[in-house]
Amino acid sequence: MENNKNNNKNFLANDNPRENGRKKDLKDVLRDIIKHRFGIDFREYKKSALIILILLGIVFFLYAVGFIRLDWDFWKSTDSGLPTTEVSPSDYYSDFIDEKWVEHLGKFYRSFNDLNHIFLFPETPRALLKFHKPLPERREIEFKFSPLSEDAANIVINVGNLYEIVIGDNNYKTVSVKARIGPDEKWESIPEKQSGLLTKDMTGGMRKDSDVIMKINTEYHLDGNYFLDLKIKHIPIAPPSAGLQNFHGQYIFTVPFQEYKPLDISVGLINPKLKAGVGARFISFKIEE
Amino acid sequence: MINNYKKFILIFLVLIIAFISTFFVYNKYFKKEVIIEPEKEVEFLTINIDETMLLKNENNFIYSSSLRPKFVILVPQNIDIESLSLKLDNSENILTDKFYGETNIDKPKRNIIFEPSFMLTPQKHSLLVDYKNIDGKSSSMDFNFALVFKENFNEPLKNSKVWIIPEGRSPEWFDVQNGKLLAKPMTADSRSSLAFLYTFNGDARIDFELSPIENNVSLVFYFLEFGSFTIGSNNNKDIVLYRKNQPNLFGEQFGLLSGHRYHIYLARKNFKYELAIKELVNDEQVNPVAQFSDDNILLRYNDFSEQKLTVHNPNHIGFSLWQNSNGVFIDNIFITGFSDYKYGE
Repeated sequence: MENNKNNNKNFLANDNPRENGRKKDLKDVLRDIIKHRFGIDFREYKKSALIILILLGIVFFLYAVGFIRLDWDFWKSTDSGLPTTEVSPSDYYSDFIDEKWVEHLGKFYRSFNDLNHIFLFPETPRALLKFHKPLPERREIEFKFSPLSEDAANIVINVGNLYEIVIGDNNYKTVSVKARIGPDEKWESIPEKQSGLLTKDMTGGMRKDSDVIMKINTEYHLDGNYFLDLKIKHIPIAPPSAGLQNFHGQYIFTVPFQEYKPLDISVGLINPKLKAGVGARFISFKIEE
Repeated sequence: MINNYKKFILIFLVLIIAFISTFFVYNKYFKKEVIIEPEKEVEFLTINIDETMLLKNENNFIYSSSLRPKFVILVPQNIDIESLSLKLDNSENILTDKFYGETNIDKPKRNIIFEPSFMLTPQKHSLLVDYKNIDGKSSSMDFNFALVFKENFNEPLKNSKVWIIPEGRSPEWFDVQNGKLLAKPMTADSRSSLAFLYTFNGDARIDFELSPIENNVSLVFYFLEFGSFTIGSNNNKDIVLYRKNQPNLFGEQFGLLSGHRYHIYLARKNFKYELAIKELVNDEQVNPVAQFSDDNILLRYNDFSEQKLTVHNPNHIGFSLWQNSNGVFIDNIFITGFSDYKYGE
């Protein structure tokens, strides 16, 4: 009786013996190839494959709804074919806490509660933080900070010891630029191009403990002229509801050397009158691509 | 039975995930844009600032209370909308530099909207537009506009973005009442001042509406470090220019009556000053581009001696009252660092 049943089954299975046999053979052959070639037996891994499929489905689902993002440009080369500079994409953003800034000329102190808050003791005339690599020509720099001193911002940006920008020179409102010009390379104040002023005011000054965004654009020309374009977005000291203001200054000066080279950049604080400590929160530094 | 139940749940979950993923992917990448009826096509490139269309070779005036006007550029089909660049006062392209503000390009509607991230100074500005036609040819256009600060006193003074009570001055003598600025009568030992945030080291034009409360007006408008114009100096008719270490300069008298409304006009062009007063009748409003005839000008002064000093010291401007003033109402102030009056030309 049992044998009859099996015979019937075989008979039904072999209804079209040529086709069934071929399908079965092909499937088995493929399985055998994969098993012998890669050591994977699909019969054993059915459950695992289902779990992997579900996991892939979940990842795809999360990507589709925007919960995770993938950088599809990761495979693209960063080499643009242009002359390379020493600045790499990892240098484009820094926050003054990372190791990209090294102490230079003078000693800074940092607040325990806020490492971005740096300050000078009254006896220190100046201190600078130098970026770990020189900057290439024609790069736009964005520096964000908050002045925290009582009476004056006294924030300084020194580029290659060639020129220096002082924001709030013993006050909370002026912008001035000094450069080492002439054969004896003396520091001299540079007038702002449009106004002719050696110290130009920001509208309403800068409010203490408010974010100030500063953009510096430079261009060096082969005739030795250096063009400095300075933009500062700031909140005035008064009125209390005042909106953001924009300072724009352009400066031109002749540098003593005729050959361009990447320049070191340092930011810091000056305390020329040595009367009280000065401080600021240095928030971020960006080099535009 | 349990295994079947688990299998069912798994298949159900897979189906749900597949369905939601397909929905999001479809919406994100494959959904066709809704076809909107095209806007009426513009024939020429037009730039509107706070709904005022700029005209070439004209003095365009933009009146703004916020000093953050909205730029709307309408781009015709024959111009490559993405090639368009806008330079404000010799800046970089403000449409692409986030420092200047936010730009929204609407390609189907062929318009670009730019909103500045900071307050523009109330003065004359230049605007250079560069673009490429679809045939690749480059073109440019330039415009000028004078941004005029407009103050209607719709908010309390403490919310103001431009008016400052200078240090050492009491905040109680200026107040906003019924949509007007009230400069109150003061006590003998008090000093008042209301300064404007922006300074001027060159041309300036100020227009405002004045309503005296009683017969002693004594309203001062000052250019700090230069001098102050007093309207109704200790009375309701004398117009006087006071300067440090200089004799007082009297203008023509003008009778100011309490409860009446007057248009006060003050301008400085190439350090030549002039002041005019005109009564506003019925519903007449202050016209900030009004040209005043010689008959209306009450005081003129050519500042030769102070010119160098003022060039290098941008002047704060503002209002003040003499201590014996009965108080005044001020409204509809217009201020700009651009003056187009014809005196001396």
